[in-house]
Amino acid sequence: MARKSISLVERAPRGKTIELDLDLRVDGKCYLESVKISGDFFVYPSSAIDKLEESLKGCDSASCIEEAFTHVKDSKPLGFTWSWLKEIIMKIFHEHCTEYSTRTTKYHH
Amino acid sequence: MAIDEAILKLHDKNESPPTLRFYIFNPSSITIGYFQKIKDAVNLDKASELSIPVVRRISGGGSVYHDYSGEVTYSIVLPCKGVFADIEKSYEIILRGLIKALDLLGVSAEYVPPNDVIVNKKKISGSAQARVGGSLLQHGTLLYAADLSIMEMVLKAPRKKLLSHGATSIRERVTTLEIELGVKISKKRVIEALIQGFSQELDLELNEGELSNREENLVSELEKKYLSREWNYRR
Repeated sequence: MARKSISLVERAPRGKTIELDLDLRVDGKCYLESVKISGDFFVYPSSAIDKLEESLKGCDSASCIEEAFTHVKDSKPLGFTWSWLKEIIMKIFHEHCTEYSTRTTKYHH
Repeated sequence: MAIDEAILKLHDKNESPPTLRFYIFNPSSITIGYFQKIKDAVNLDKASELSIPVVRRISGGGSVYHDYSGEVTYSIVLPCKGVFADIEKSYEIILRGLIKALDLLGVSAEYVPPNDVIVNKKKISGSAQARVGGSLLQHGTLLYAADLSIMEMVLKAPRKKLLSHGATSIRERVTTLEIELGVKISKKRVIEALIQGFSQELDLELNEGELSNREENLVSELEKKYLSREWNYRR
């Protein structure tokens, strides 16, 4: 069992600054244990960010991350786009969880 | 902050009229955006050392230093209908009032979407909008003589953010009316220009008024939230 904490600051193209704090947990599978999205952006309604953070919690696949973003599709971000944010989270997930899955595959073989 | 939220909520219940308000933070204070992490947005040690309170807004956006002697805050509550239904468009339309005020004061300013007003490529005003039901609240700053050295000491801005604006420090990114005009300007004159600018550009018929009892009561309730650690340190 292991945990990786990742923090990064990204600036959306011609937009606002987003800070991401992700905890990845490797516990049989690799999943997002928690996601915190902060920064100087706007989202209408503001509750969409809490909803997204909650939906991403426990995600162990790209399809789960994809699904989490459908829960906020009716809200309006200003200063970034949902697809831009999704791409960043997907990239982190693939980078860190693929590494784990490669290692465990080798171990099992 | 509590007054802004009270008017917004009561406007949504048809219990407050559309309202344009100007205020000064006393003492000088810092507000942070709804989604910001307080520790990343503010130098809390320095703010505490200088006895500058910090409060989280219900609106998004970045951290702001509200200098008692050099900044005026405007707030406007309107129904989200007609031209104000579209979020991006509503920012632009409301900020036409502020740009007009700057023009009346002798400064040529431009709108930079989604929420900034700049003069000579430097930020002189930032705004943030919150929406509740069918009502919107937009509040924002106008820096006329703010102490930029204190602003730089108490606010934190990510390097990536500053660089995206071609600056390496907050001071390089921000300006004031006094810097642009090269002369001192009074708070009273700034507020008069703002009243004229907003009423002209938004075609408003303004009647001066006081907070209603209902507004005052809701303000008292909301103040507890704005004074709580739970609210201000929620991120």
